[in-house]
Amino acid sequence: MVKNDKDIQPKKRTALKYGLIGLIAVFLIYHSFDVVPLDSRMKDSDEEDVAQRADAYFLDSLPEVLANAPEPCTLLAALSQKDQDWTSYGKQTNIGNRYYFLIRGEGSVQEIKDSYVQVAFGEGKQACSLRIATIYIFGNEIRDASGKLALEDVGELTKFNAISEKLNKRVREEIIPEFLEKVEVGQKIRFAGAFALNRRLGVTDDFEVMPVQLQIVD
Amino acid sequence: MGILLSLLIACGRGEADKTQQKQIAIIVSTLNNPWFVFLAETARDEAESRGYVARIFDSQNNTSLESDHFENAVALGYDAILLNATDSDGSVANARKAMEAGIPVFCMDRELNNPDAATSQIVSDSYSGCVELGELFVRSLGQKGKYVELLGLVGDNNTWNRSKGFHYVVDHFPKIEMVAQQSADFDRNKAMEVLESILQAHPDVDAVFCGNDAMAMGAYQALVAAGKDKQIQVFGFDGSEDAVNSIQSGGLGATVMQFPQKIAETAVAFSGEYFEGRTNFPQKTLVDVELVTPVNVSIYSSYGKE
Repeated sequence: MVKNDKDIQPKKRTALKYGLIGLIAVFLIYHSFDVVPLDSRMKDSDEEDVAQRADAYFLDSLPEVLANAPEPCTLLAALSQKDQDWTSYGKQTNIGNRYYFLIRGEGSVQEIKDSYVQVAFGEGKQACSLRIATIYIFGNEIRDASGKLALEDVGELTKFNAISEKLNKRVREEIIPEFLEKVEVGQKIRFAGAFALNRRLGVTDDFEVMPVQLQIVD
Repeated sequence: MGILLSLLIACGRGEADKTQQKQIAIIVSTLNNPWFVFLAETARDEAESRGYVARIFDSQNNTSLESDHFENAVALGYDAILLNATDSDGSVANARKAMEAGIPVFCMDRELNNPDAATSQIVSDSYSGCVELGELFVRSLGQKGKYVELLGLVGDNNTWNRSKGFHYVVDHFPKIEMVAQQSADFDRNKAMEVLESILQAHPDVDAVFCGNDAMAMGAYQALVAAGKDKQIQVFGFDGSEDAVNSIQSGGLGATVMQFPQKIAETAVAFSGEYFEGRTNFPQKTLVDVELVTPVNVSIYSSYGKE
């Protein structure tokens, strides 16, 4: 049987019609799904978890413990005593000599240096002076000094370290700039923070305290 | 009567099992590095002081050889394995072999990238140690300058934990620029060659950060040869004897002291607890590291010996 033009065209038209329908269907199906690598999904969910844990810790758990933190000079005097048991005053995260402490108090600004503010606390024999860090806020002091967050709670060391990073970033970017804009020598400040000491080295005079709360009183 | 006799024999055998000395295999990545020699020997000495029989197996940085050691340890009926892994990924299968055979595996110093691959992993808090070193690094440079980073073995998590901790701090300071980053495999001679080559292209660096002391000493050697040891600071990690002596004599700028004695003793102690019936161990146990500088070096001995 000889094919004529009229037989070929309907076939082509049918093929074209189904081809177009197929293309439209593929287009619609493709745009109905969001295809992302599994790694990136896990990463997003981990980041969200870290952010939530850091927020919950900074806004709820930490302030509760900070409310009962000792006054700086009293604590330092106790730690400076020979053979003092530091475990009653501080927290440890790892096996070793590092202890973390919380303090709170009211003091007056003595000096404003490039990377810290020197603040005097107490009076007379009870007086002491501390460096409040304004640049080098990178360690685990804020995370570990309260004892409220442990590696076992978080599960993974990478996430545990990421929580520390989030907490430090918050202090560096939110608390410090506002404080530094207004602070002047001689002003009284209300302060709460965390610091770390090495039991092997004892109480040194150049450690810096990571601020958690900073308020200019006058 | 026969049943009574069988029961008596079975009880006797049980008692014999309990009193038979426990055997611990210490499978170490390489004995070509004094730090690992110290780790392995401390573990062996601690095990023997507790009445165990302990033997050291050298994997020579070869995961296949490490696999052979595991097969032998399982076949010979060792009661526990203390593992210093050759590769954080590659060693997982080896550790699993032992775990499946009912032999606990306690990792020392080097992590495995699978939390279920070992009974417990006792490692240094390298990340936090390098955060502290990073701060000192930045302060030493006055928050500006150029530096080189020499990385360790790329298959070892310690390489990346240390580098990440360091960069977490240093990368915050835009006036500090890393001009080169290259692996020297934790090896002193390789580090010397790599830095010599880097210095050709970047003669004006201010500092070198090395992922371990062996590389730091190699880097320092390269700088001495180039007459630049007084103007370029070198920082390491481990607390090796060479590094501690170098800091004392004005060579290296600082190192981060690890405590392999603590790691080894904890691993042996965990083995003992396992023998006594403990089954629940923390996935990871971190051991603090400490920054050693010219200011405090006099109170430290190499490898954190106490």
